[in-house]
Amino acid sequence: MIVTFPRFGHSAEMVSLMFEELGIPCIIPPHNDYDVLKKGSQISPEEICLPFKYMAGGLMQSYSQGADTVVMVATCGPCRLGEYGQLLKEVLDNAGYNYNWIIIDSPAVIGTKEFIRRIGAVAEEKRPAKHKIVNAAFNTVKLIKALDSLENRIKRINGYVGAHSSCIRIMNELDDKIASLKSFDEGFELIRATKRRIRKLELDRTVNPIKILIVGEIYTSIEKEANRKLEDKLMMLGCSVNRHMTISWWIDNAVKCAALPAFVKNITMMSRRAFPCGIGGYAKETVNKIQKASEFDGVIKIMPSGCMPEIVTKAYCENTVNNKLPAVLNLVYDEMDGEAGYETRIEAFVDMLERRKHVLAGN
Amino acid sequence: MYWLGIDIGSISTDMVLIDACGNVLEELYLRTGGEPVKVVREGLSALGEKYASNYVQGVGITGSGRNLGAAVAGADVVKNEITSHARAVAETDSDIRTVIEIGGQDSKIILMENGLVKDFAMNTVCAAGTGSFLDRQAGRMGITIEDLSDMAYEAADYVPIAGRCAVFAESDIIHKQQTGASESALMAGLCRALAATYLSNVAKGKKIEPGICFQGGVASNKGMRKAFEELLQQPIIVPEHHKVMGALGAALLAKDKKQAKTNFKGFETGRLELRTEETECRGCSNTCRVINIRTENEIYGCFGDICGRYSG
Amino acid sequence: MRLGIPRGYFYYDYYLFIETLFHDSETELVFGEPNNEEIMQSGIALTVDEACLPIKLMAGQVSSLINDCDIILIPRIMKDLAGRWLCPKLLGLPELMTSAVVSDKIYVTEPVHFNNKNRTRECFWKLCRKTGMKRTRFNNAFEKAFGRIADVYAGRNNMHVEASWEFIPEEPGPDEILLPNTVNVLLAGHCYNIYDKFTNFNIMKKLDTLGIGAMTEGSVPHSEMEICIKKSGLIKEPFWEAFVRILGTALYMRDKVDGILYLSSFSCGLDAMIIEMLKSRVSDLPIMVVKIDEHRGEAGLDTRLEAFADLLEKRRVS
Repeated sequence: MIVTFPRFGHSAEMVSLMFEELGIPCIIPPHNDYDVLKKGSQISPEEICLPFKYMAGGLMQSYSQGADTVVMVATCGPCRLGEYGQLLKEVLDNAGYNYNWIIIDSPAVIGTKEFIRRIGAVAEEKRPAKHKIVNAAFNTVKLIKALDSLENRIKRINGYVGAHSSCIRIMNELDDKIASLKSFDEGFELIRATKRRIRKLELDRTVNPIKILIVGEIYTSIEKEANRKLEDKLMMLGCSVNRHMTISWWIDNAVKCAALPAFVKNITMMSRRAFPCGIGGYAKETVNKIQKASEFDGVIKIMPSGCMPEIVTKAYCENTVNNKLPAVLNLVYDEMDGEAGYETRIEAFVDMLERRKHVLAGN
Repeated sequence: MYWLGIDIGSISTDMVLIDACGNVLEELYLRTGGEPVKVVREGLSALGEKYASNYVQGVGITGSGRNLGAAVAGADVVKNEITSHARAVAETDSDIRTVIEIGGQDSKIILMENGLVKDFAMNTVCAAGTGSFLDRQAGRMGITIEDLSDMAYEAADYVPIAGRCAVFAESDIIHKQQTGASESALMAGLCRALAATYLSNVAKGKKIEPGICFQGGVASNKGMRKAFEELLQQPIIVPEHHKVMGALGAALLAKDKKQAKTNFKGFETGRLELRTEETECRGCSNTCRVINIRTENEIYGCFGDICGRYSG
Repeated sequence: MRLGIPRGYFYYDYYLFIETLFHDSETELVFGEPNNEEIMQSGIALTVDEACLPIKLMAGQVSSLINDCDIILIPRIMKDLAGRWLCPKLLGLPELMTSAVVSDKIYVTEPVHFNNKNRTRECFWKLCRKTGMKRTRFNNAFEKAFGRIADVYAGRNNMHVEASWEFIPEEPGPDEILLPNTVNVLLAGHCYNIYDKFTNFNIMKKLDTLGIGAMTEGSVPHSEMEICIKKSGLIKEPFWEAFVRILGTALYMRDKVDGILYLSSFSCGLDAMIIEMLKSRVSDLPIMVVKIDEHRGEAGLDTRLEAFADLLEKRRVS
């Protein structure tokens, strides 16, 4: 059994480390790029959201490299992401990619017993010791979190570093090195080494950079290719960037949801009348975050075209944009290439914030 | 002392030369025709015949081909179209609150407040709200765009045409032609359809405040101006240099920067044989496609890298 | 008091419920007029571009009712009686509507989970209290109304969609001969597409003229759908009600019909997945997907329907 899984930012490399630690052979799908998207689009339904096409393309590539089992975490709706597993199986089966599927559903839906059985199915052949599994899982989460906080830090200090390209270069080199990690220890060492590099950067605390918050659909946020390297572009323009959706956040959120008893969640949901009310995806979090974004100069809200929950948040933002929300730029990503259009919008948005900020500051 | 502004768009490439008071000394309006490097060189040599390179104090470049332009001509300011347009408007008339800009392949709305951009929007993927819609329909009926402008302006009445999608509009026009609508009423209908599409697509959800300025290539079309005036029930200002507002804004931005030494490579660039060449950078996983502008034996300029390793 | 009910999602699926709830009360129900060009245009102008046609029509409905009513009801229905989710855009309907039409007349209910009867009761009690209904009277009416939905789900009542009544064919006139329909199709899709004569160009009539009998999910008990879904061996428990209803109906009907005609709104997120599942799971039947959006071309639909009818006829003969 050779395991593969859909790419989900850096977590792909971390999870593969975990499998390796447990002695389960696995193949990571290639980095998302135009070819992956093209391959995926050929077998995907036309109107499906962009992440699906990337995932399908990635799994097709893994298959040709010899993977035979897909492990996938699934949620239970109401957004389309929850139904991905079923549909991926359907389109891949029909296209002749005969994978085995192990869908890790939330225990609340399939029952704890079935949940444990499915987890067990992943490790069936090797039967690693229990403490080894726990240890590996623990290390994976720890490394993902360390990595996220490191990246956050680089993106934040970018605005204070004179030459913005040095931060981008550190980020890119980090990406490259992550791809070739062999063990958890190497991973932690990489983080320490990168931290040392950051410390050597000269920061100018007197400048007041444009601070931008990125919110929106989770896959588009996490996968660089899906948002056309939005963060790199912003960093090049000298902004301090913060991204709301990270894998660490997702893990925390998933654990919270699974651990809190149902009645607690019910009370919190009942007590709130209008929005924020969970409508699927992370629409609620997007809106909450935008409402509390006063420390930022502007917010960029991203979504793949057709993303249902984010359409609702878009309407919501347009409604109240005049009074209390900060400046919001909506970016909708789809397959059609139009690099220049995104770039112009992003630059104009940053220019607008910059000029406004300086005029308000009295210059 | 002069400042040069260049706007490299998909349809046209404009150049503007201004003096220290912001007066426009020269304005060039050239067809890009898919060869931006060649057009920039042509423009530069045309200006070079009248002006000397060392009098140019700064250069601003804008438009979708701005990075290419900067690599060819050398630039002190490389800015997007929205910022440039807004800058030019602020200079021309400080009372303007809403800018309608319709070009060949894109259109924008810019909302201004005290001479600063307050909000903006651009057309999305589809070209239905842009000038190419008029070009295409006029071309299909064998009417020049200038005639269209006059006919639509003088038409007493218009025929309603569904303009939300260029393809559907075409079948609608054919249908209206078959029912015997007059040509001038059809032209007026086309302008009206474009204006309505613009307002419901690009300007959707934006509050259009009085002090409306209409610019871009399509602004010279009197029929369009009339259509907007009728739809918005407001007087519309078309500024004198409406065709080259982007370039004018870029020149003004260069002037604002007050850089001591310009990066301008001189009007002499116009006389060089330049060609472009694409290489893939293997420096990191981004694999940027770097585009080099070359003369016979050296790299003249380059762009396309995210991290600035080559373009600095 | 005049309570406005826009002719949108809720109207088609829960007409019986709301009608029973306010039956014989002082509240006068005002239903939105059937959709038309004007409502559609006003809806398009009001909503975000990315929204689908049903949402735009709904916005048009709300704005057309706004001057005529004291309250306009926008229920936030989260889950159906079987505990399955609705589409995210329907969950966010209140946000979409309140940002399209700004008015304090719009009444948004608390999140309604029809699988939780007590909570559902409280949600609607708050609405009914506003209209001046007494609690005891409400309790009775609610029991009755809720019972109607339960009947529909259990298959005891399949005439729950008011709009579907119109589909019962007229009696033939004295000089007409009633031809038996030789082929039958399943008209699949969301309720607001199947039952709205404006969006689907009165497709029932068109099919009837072509001599095709049409069936809808209205005639299939919900319990049967669930059984069919369970038997189909999905690797993932489905969580949308529309997924279960459409796929379940198709699986249940696969031996009873000759083809499937799918009415789908352009850019509908659920349909993108459901259609793919249908094509994969009911591959033995011809499926035609009709996309519905605001660029309406009736002639194109006619051509396609005729071609589909020919195809079905050929298959039947061979």
